[in-house]
Amino acid sequence: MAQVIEIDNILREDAAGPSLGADEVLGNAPERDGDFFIVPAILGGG
Amino acid sequence: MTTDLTTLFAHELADRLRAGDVTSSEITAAHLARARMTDRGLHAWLTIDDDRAMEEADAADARLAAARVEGQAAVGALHPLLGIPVALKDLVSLKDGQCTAGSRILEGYRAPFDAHVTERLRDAGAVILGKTNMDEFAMGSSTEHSAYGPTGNPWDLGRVPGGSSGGSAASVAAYQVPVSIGTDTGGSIRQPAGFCGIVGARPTYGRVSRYGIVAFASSLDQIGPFGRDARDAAALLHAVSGRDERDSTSAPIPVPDDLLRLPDSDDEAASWLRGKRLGLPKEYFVEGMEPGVASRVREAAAALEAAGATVEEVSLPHTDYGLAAYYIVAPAEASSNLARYDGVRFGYSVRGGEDYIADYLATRGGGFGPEVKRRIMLGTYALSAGYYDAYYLKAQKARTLIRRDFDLLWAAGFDALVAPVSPTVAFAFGTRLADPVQMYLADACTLPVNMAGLPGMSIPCGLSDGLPVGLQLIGAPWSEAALFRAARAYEGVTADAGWRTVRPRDLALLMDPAMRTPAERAAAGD
Repeated sequence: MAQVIEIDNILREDAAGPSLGADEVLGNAPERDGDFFIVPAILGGG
Repeated sequence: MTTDLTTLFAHELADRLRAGDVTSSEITAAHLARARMTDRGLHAWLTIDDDRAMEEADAADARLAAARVEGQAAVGALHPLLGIPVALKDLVSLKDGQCTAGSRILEGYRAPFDAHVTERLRDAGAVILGKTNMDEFAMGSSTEHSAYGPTGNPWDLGRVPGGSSGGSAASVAAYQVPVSIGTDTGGSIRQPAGFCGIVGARPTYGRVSRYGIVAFASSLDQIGPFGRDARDAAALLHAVSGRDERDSTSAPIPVPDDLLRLPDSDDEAASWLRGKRLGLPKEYFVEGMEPGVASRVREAAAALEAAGATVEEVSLPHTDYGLAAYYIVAPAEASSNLARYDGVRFGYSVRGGEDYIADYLATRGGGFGPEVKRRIMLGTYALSAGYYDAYYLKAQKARTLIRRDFDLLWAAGFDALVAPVSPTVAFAFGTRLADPVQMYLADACTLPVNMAGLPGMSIPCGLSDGLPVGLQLIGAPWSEAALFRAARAYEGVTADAGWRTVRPRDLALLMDPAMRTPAERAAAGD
């Protein structure tokens, strides 16, 4: 069983719509730099 | 006007509101005051926002006033939940409100948007008082797995309210709010409704959009209502149901307006049972079931039969595989869903370790509680390379068999099944924490319904040792209107039963402002 309800795939129009603004998206970030999340370094350190 | 507004059903409040006897502002203030006064000993709530609630109440009063000016048709078009207080389980996004899902890892997280159900409640004009306590990420059957301390059961403050939606159930049972929203992945609405002696319903998978709900197991999660009677729960389900483009599993199936037309008359409600065919699945009377629970359920079946339904013992032969298959599928999906808690974009975050792995380990190790970690490990193992076919795929096949058991009964003409909700009444704090399998068994009678994607309800059907017993009603996909008719019919049949007049026995203790919290009582060992 892949799906409990017998409903075919439902696709929406491939159209851009409004989304949350940067301040809302970043509002919960533990560390932020302008419009960016600060992430831990993932490439080997020096 | 001396009636305590908190003792009324939502449909009674709605009638008084429309009659002009009371305002939403008065209704809301009364419930806020009671919730504030009684919650120290209960701990049903994680957040209460008085200011926002009173603003929403004023807006509801303004909408009603505007509709009155427009005329009777406009008043009639208002949803029955207009101006009625409602509680949200703390995994439903409410814009700018904290949304913890009962976890440390989301402490302080504020939802940047409304969930679909929140939007629908706003459209209906319901007044959201706040957010209720729950097992962390909805993983549990007692609300003891909340990172913020357990919730008590208003029937006996030494016992659990069930879970995971324990705060939503306890708040309704304790008259802090007339209706509330919960979620049910394996029984998390029906089991606490049963333990707290109220009505709770898990709708068909796809009936209510999951957009904006903190995900646990995406193929099993559904959102549903709690209320103190069938009419109230039905009105809340009606308000939040329906297609939403933002959840691709939300079904384009019309919401039955019959949910708003359950008969007021007990006799009319009971008459629905005539000629109905109900099944009593023998596998749900599991080994170790408390005799009082089995007796109440069989008595309820007899009462339904006496009112004109036929009740036949039926078999769901793959029931035994439900628990094992569930504990593959649900943890597997949880391990995937909970990968998002990485401490980068939101939530608890530990930085400054030796490398990023150290930061992730510290973030997730410190943010998640033990039950959540157990399930992430179970699920990650079940999905790992070489094990997927043996576990997840096999469990999905078991799921097909479980679903087929039910389908055969619907094809044979059964209108609904009646069964126990849980093998026991509410258990004492701490008695199942040491043994996860004992905790998991609390959901043995409810989780096959999730595996099959079906609608199910719990309705009160009496007391065992002075504690509530839940009767489970299970229906075919999209048969919520019939299930609620059956629930309302049972209320009609048992309207004069003595147990209906018994109120939760520890309500009086909650009025003591010095009452210790459930966490303090548990720590003191009583």
